[in-house]
Amino acid sequence: MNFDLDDDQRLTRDTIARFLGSVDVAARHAMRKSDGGYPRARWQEVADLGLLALAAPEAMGGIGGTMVDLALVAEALGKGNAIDPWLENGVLPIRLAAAAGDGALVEELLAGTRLAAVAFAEPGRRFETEAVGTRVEDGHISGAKTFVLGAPLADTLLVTTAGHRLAKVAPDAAGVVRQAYPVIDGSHAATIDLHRTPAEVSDLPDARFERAIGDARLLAAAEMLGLAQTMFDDTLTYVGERQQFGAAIGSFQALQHRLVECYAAVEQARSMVLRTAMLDPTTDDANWSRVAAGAKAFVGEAAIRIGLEAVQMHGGMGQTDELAIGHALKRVMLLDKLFGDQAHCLVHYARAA
Amino acid sequence: MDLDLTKDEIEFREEVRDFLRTSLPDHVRDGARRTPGVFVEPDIGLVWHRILNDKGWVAYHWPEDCGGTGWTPMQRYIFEKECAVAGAPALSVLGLRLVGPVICAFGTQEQKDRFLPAIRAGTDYWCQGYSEPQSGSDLASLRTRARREGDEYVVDGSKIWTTHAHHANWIFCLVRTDGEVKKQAGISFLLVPMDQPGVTVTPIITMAGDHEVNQVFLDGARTSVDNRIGEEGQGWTIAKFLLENERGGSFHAPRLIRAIDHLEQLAGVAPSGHNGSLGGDIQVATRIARLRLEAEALETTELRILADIAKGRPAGPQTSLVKLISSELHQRIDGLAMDLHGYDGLQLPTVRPLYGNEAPPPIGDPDAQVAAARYLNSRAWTVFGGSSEVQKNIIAKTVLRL
Repeated sequence: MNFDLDDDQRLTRDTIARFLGSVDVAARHAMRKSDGGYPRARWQEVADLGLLALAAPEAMGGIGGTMVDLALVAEALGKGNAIDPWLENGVLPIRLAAAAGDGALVEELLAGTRLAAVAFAEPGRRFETEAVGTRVEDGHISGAKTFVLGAPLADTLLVTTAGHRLAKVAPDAAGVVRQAYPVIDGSHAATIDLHRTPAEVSDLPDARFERAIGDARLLAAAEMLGLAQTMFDDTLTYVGERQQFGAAIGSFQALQHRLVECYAAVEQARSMVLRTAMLDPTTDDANWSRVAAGAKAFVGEAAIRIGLEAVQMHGGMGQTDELAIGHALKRVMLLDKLFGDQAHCLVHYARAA
Repeated sequence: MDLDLTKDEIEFREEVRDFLRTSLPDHVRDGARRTPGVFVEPDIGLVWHRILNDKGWVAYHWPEDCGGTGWTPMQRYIFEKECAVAGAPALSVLGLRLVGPVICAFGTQEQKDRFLPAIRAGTDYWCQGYSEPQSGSDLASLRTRARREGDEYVVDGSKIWTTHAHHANWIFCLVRTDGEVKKQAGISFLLVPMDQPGVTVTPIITMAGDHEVNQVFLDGARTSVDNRIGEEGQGWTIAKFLLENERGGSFHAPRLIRAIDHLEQLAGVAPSGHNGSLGGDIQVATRIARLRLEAEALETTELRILADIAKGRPAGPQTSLVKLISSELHQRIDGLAMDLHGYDGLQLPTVRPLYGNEAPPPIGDPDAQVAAARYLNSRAWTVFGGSSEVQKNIIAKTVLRL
């Protein structure tokens, strides 16, 4: 048994910390003003760090990182309060393209030369992942998708369709109507309506799709762990500095006990992320999506709770858009609902047991 | 013991309902519904304020000799409940509920004549200079100083979390006029005009992207000695009077219950994603039920306080109890609203306002567009007007005598 990072994992973690360290709140605000809510040139830097290749199989030109490797990356991105959509526009489309056997697309995606957005959610279907309202007919697709994260940035849309297929669509193809809108973490999403839009369609067997969703759920949990850690650390520093009633507010027992509870929740969340990531090579695929859903619900509850405590303990300052904790909380709130909120994921975990 | 309204009270309720039916404009109601902040902006709020003033009902919590309505506590409750049910906006409390009653209670006749009519008419717009960057929960430690210079005070310092300072032409301030005495004893209550070179307003944007609060810098700001309320050193007594009004001056339960009614309607039509509506989901149904029980209990707690006031018994620290419970209930309701909207609840528009012709098109249900912003802004409930931690300290000390 061993919970230590190896040299490569340590190096990756430190590299990510350096990459993110220079992005303060003012820089985040400036980047969010870019077209599509994210500076496209920065995506190339994410690719150059090897963070995208890590998510792709070696057979398709990737590095083939384990779930532990990927979870450590997600955690480091969370810890550094990353603005980069590594999970939703990096890992997720790469995993789906690989699952659909599209090696050429995987290569472009991991190189950072092509950025893809995944259209999985359908209006009126809440957190259900199986596509039912988007259909393929003679190489054309029709239907409606919503909450397509990163769509305004995307060179390619990957659209899940009924019958367990994945359609590759050009954003400017005939019959595509997009409505872009900002979401809570400051990134941009879009609704996408497709009217007999030409598309390249591949089979995406359900087991492989579920596997990719399980991966995304666990990595969302890992990123939330890093975000929770950074919100906790900032709060611990703040209560040691903030003076009220002639003392640092961290000297008040009422806050001390709440902070200890937050600390316990972070440690439990870390254990859950590591445990689940290490189950990866041993559990069968059918069980994977279930355990990942459970992990995400568990970590999401902790991260939300820690984020709300961080905001409360920062008082008035905590309400503003000027602190990293607020940005971290908003990202947590998005990840907590991505591929199912806590209630949805707990039901999935309980039912499949 | 009974919960019944008297015949007169029922007649009054009908009168209020008729008035709301005929006088509350649709665009005001819609603007309130589509405002993610705690208070509506003046473009909505002042419209309603002036309609109420024309009716003679705007300053209904002031004494009658100051232009109040002379309503009983029960009439005030009925009025607020009917306003909540009708979806009328919550008006800015700063003039009507905070400084207005202070001037009524502590002001001279000249001050009453000078300030109260303009508050009622909505021609003066007020903001509150209480918190400072280094003095939040520990309000008595405030450092903004005022020194006498002839017939004027010269004020130096900074106030923060100043709601609607960018709309206001007056600020009421707690200032230190004596640095030699115990910290509470050196505080005075000053009214300072905003339109002068010594006053600068800097916006503070909330997590949700709203501009409600500001930092106000006072650098040699001047105000006449006639604009001091009460005596020098009486500021802390006035501050506590005002804070009790801020914490307990209105009834929260009617608005909370209406919000829960809305959640229930929403759950009834929101898709569960698989079969039927979310309202049929037992987890959702029990969450709504739990909130409703809390809000109904709070309504009765508020009525118990009201009955005490009606019988001339002091309300005192019970306002802290209501502040504590209602703040957390606001947050839980706004959290559930966001959850019910699923992915649509994650949209967070960057432009304001979200009503009128310039508003961006909503994704999904129109209410989904304000859900996340409202939830984020509602985190402030447990901070402003004294944080929940401070309310608990007050209750522990003054009620439980710990």
